[in-house]
Amino acid sequence: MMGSGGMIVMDESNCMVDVAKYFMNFLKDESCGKCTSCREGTKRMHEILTEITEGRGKLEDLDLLEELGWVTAEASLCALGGTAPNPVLSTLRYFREEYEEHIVNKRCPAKVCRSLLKYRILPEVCTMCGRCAKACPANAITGKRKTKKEEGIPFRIDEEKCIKCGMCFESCKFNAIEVQ
Amino acid sequence: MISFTIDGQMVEGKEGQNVLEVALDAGFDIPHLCYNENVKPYGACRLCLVEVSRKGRSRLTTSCNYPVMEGIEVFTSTEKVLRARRMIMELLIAMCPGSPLLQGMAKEMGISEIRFKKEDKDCILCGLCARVCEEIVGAHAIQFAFRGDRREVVPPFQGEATNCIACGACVIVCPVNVIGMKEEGDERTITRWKRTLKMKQCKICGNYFAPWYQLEKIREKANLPKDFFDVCYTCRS
Repeated sequence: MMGSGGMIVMDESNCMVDVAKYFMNFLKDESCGKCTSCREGTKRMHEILTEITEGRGKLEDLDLLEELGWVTAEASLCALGGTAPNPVLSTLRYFREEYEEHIVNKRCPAKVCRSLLKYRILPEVCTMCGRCAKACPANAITGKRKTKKEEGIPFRIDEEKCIKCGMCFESCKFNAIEVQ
Repeated sequence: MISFTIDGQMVEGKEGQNVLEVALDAGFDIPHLCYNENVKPYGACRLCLVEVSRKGRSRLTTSCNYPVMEGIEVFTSTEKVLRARRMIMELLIAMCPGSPLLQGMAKEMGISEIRFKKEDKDCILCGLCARVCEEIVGAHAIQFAFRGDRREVVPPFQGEATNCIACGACVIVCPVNVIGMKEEGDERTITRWKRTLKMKQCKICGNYFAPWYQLEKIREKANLPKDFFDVCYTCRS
């Protein structure tokens, strides 16, 4: 339960860890800060979820999240603290495997958590048009454009330089860029 | 008299008392940080959690602001209570890892490792300083500011506490001892609130005994004669 009477429809392109993080970010500012359990609890839950979405999560964190959620709900004075851990607890209950995927395989199945994404150009599909290299703000894409006179070299992404902005993915008209 | 049980033991409290007060008097050990018998209970630290069972329903609640009621059953150390209390203590010590008081309390509760990133704050936001300043001193010099995880106790606009009379009540009441006060020559400074006041000299012993501003305020409030504070408390008696 979250919010007041609204309904949010989500599909497989919504990362449940990211959704929980979004709500915690909102709630840690929304808490008045009087009760230790609510003020610190929401802040720490947000901190742990950030770690998980950035690929630094540990499996123990999931138990800690559940424990922290329980305490925040039980020990806080008002209904904000009482319901604040709901997004975390319910996503953990129904989408635990998505959390585990982030932690164990460092993958975001919904392709939302940027730090966990990997962009790759499929050489067999790439038409060597060079649009992606032009769009890349980090100059991470190298290759040679194919013209009528010259043969090209398929473009490739330098993972070290890539800032995972997704500009190349959006610019490619031939679906030659794969996100993992 | 209102009678109820704490951990199965029959206790009696007066109308208007809270559960923590009665429990402490009866010798029960309930950890607490933001409670002080001289000011109104506030319930910010959440450490004094107990399980209260009333009319067959039980829930966790802070004992410092739970009024005594006929026939309630209070449990101070059930599995649920200890679990919540330990986590709150861990959150507090992750916030202020440098506090010796918190370190001692955490050790007593059996907390050996802190699973959160340590911060370097010193204030636990119990609000005792602000409440004493408001309820007892009546100076209203400091208050809570901001909300959520940015909450802190500060003088108005984070500048000098211009209403502060440098009485030092906040220094004494602070459970983690982070409000500093120093006296150098004829000046007294409350460092945390950036307040420095000139002190008055006693006409008999010559000691600087209290800030001018403070004595003026008290004299006005109590309608005392002008020369009342010319001599210090020790010389007068």
